[in-house]
Amino acid sequence: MKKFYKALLVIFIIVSLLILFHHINVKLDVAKIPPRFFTTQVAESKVEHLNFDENNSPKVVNLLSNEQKYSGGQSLKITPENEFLDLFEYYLDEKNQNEYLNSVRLDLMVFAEQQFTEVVVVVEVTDFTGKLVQWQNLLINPSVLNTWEHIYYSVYLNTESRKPNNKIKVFLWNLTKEKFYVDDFRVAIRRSDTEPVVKNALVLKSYNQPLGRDQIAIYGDLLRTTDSSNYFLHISSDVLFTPPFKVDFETVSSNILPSKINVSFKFDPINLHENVKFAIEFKNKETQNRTFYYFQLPNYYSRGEERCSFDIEIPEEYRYNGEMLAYIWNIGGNEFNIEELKYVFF
Amino acid sequence: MQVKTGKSKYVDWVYVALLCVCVSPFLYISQFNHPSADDYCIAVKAKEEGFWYAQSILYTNWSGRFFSTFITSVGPLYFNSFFLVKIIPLFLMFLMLFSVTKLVDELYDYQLKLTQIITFGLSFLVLFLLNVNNLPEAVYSYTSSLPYTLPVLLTVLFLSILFKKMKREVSKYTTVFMYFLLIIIVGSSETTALLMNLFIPYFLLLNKLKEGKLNKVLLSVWFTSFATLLCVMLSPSLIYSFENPMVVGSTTKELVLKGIDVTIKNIEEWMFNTPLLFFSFVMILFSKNYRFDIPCLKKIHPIIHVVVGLIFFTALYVFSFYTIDYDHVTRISVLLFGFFVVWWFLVLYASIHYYHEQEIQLFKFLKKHLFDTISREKYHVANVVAIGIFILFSNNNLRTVVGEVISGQLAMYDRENEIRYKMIEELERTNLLQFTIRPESLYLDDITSDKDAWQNKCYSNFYQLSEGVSLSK
Repeated sequence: MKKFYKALLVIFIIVSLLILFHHINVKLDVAKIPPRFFTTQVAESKVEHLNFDENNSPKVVNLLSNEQKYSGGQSLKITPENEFLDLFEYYLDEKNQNEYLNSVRLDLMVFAEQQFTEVVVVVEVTDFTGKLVQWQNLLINPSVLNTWEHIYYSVYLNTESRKPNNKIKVFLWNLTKEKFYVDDFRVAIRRSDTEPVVKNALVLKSYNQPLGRDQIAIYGDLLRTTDSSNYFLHISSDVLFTPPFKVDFETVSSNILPSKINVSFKFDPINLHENVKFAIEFKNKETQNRTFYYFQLPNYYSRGEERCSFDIEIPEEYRYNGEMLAYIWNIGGNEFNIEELKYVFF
Repeated sequence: MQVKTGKSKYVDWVYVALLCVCVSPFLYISQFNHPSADDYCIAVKAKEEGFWYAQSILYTNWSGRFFSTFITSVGPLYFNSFFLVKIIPLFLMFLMLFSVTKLVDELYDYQLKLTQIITFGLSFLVLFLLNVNNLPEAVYSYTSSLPYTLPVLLTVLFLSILFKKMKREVSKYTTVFMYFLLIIIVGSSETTALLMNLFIPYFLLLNKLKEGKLNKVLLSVWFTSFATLLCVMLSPSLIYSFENPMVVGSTTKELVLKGIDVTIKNIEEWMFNTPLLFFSFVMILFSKNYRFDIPCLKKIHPIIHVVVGLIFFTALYVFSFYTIDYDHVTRISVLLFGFFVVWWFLVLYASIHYYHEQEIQLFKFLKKHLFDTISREKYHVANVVAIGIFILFSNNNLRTVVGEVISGQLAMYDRENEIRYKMIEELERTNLLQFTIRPESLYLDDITSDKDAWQNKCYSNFYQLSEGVSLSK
């Protein structure tokens, strides 16, 4: 039995050494971390909190009222005579290189005595010449009457809006001339530590057409060609992730609202050991919510070239103000080609 | 039936190889193991408060289980070692094999052949791994495996030394080691503390009935066990638990009924949804011609052991309702499953011994028509088929583990953990991404989206981050 226990000890040591060897050999290159892991860290850099009790601007002094208040002693009483009311202005400046403008967050308390539908808060961005760059209206539509209701929005700033010397202006537009009260109005300019996804970086001109060569060119070094018209991607064993293919649905939805995507390609294994996954990531830029879909590509049991195709329903919450990232995750260091890659939006 | 040579021996090794194949995926996935949120917390406590002061705080405010507190505080993360996190499951599996073979060798008075002993040990290991109801808690997360699984294994080792000491002289070092084991078993959890203080007096009583006098060894073992039990039970934290039970609004009667219900359901699960009965057949086959020697269990009707065991298990469940709520009974079941298997085989062999000695007609009949007529090869084939059917057609951990390895889920989980370490340590990111896959075989818990959650605070403190970590979808 002593021999058996010695053998047991030796096996334990050998297995431990194998695990140690694996542990030491896990050398993860930061550059190979896929973009989805770099979640945006958002901080508020400029905050304006209007409680209408003190330090009121001359524009609102005549509108102060103590008939209803959420906090303190006064609130802002909007009457049918007040169609426009400027609440906040901010000039963008150069900030630390690691900080990027992200969004404008609005929070306000509203007290309404009757239902109304066409009262909006407007976030407007103009450049230094006064030219309109971005304009977004946010509907104030109280769901309960005769009580204070918290209403909040985030407005994502596009590339043009984020330039220095632009002016961000927030104002109230009482379009249908309603009477209501506003208190605790809060505006925050949010900055993030990662650059927000650039809009219009990849414009899909026609969503029912295969990707053009210019779009597929984002794959750079991975691109191979057999002739001038036939491109394919060559994934070698040292490629962990392909560069992400990005689609901004805000751009897409300006013409057609996509509800489904079909991805198809020819998968040509050269040296296949372990799993390869095709990853599709949806992200809502406003809420930062994400959803991932992984599609297992043929494993080592497969022989030869295979055509792969899969459909994905775009979840409702990502169709507006959302984006899609698609990339291949070469988990096991395989070598293969991807040909005739098409993303078709329906 | 005599032990055959040649073909029989070869068949024995084939059977051992099959059991090794069943165990190997569990060894393989150890390389993908990573610490859970609980593991970080205990390490941070020991680092921040100072090791010994942390022991005192935890004993006073958290739990009386002093050995568990000690062993988890001094766990891998105390030394910032992620490698040791992967080694602890291996260690537990090898310790299980070692301690069970030790006990079996002792019970059969060193008469069994090597293949037979290995078969016993591997069968126990396979049975435990395949059917323990929460694999991460039982094996892979050291904050729960060390307090719950380790004492089961140490108990097996303790029993082997105790039986040896009751039969013959042992060295004083072995005796000291036995008492040391007893103290750490009782100090591992309230459940093991109670369990030892129920079973040891029971052994003592049986021995008294048989021998007519109290066995000094058992008596001193019980005193040690009882003194250690007092250290556990009289901790301020446990007294508080009894004054403020976790399960509120239930009468004692309701708790007892609930305890009976949980015991019966679990035993039914362990008996009929595991290959326990098949392994039992193999062991009967191996053992029928050998002397099986448990000093305390001889000449007692087996039904008494069964009834006493059921009462003890129920009592342990009822006790656990005071210190944890119903949702966390899984942890107790992990521990009791290990003990159940030990208890099952002790009772089984005590029964065989009893019927053998009593010359019961049924046993004679079985011996004549079953054990003496069917060859060992046929038995092995039957067992292999039975285990194969069980593995293929029932839910068990082996299927889960193999499925997660083949689908690449464990590799992905491993990779995402490595990415997370990189994000924290090199890029000092505090907003992390939640795992896309939470493999059933390794994942226990994680940080949350709330920066102020206890898990997140432990994580932040462990990595000494100025800002709290949080998780995004």
